[in-house]
Amino acid sequence: MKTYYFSETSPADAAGDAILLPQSTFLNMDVLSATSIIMQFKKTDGTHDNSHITITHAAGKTADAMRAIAAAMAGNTKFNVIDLVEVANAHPVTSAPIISGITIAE
Amino acid sequence: MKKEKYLIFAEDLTSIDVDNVDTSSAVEVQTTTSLVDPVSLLNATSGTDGIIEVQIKAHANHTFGSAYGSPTAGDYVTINTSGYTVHASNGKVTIITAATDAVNGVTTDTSTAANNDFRVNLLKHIDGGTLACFPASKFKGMQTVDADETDLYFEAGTGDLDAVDVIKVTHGANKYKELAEMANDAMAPAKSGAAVDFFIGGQSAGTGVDALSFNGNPAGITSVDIQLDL
Repeated sequence: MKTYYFSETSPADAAGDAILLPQSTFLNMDVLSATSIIMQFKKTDGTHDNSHITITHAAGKTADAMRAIAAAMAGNTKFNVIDLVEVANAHPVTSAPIISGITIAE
Repeated sequence: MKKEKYLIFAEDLTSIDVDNVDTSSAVEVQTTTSLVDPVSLLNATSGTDGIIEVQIKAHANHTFGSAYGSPTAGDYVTINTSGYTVHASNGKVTIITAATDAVNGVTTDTSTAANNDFRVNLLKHIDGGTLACFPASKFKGMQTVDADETDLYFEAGTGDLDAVDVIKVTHGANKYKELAEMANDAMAPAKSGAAVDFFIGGQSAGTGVDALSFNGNPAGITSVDIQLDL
């Protein structure tokens, strides 16, 4: 099973610092502002709700950030636990890393 | 579903005309939610970040900075980003006069508001529900609305099992089958997953931003309307 790892801090050592979500629970991405998009996943506690990750990115790069994340999610990897931010930032959509931070809302 | 496809949709980029602006005390152009909702999504760097483009309809009573040459009256002239400022939160654009910036500034007609028409064009998608991405595995089906509109359904991002997110696609008349084939091709299994620009709306005003579409756009898609469950 492919899973996505998100961590607000490194190391993750406090409640809510990090989350691991199965690929199959990803629902969609939407825009929040010129510098942020939101990734929505099925709620981790099993209720009919969502858990979401807010991605902060370079200003005006909403479409590029979305493409980079989608490409990172779609990419082949030998690892089943994928640090999505790390992979997306390595994707050559722009010359510089596009994602600057995340916020987890379980 | 290791080789997932991720379909990206975006609405057309918006544009507004702000006409008959009274510049007797200040040259301020107030944007509206027709451009971006809420307008507070615009801020001081919206111009330099390439998010908006500000234009003025040239008039004989205007004085343009040296960067603009001698515009023809009636033509929309794109004001350089150094020629205006954007408020931090209220969506107001303030034009810098040619007296203040002889290169990038523009002096308007301070006595006749009817001579001061502006156009503001959005160049990036920055407000919710205008740009979205869905995994193909969450596609639930598509249904005709009429001859040139079709709804594509995806599981709702809210996680509500009784709701869906809808992409209303406007396409060529009687092109439902072509759209169905286009959607199927975009989501078809492949050796590897991919991010797919299914339809990314562009900007037809100002200097313009080209729309992008999947596979040569056999369905003749002209726009999409993203309707997310909230």
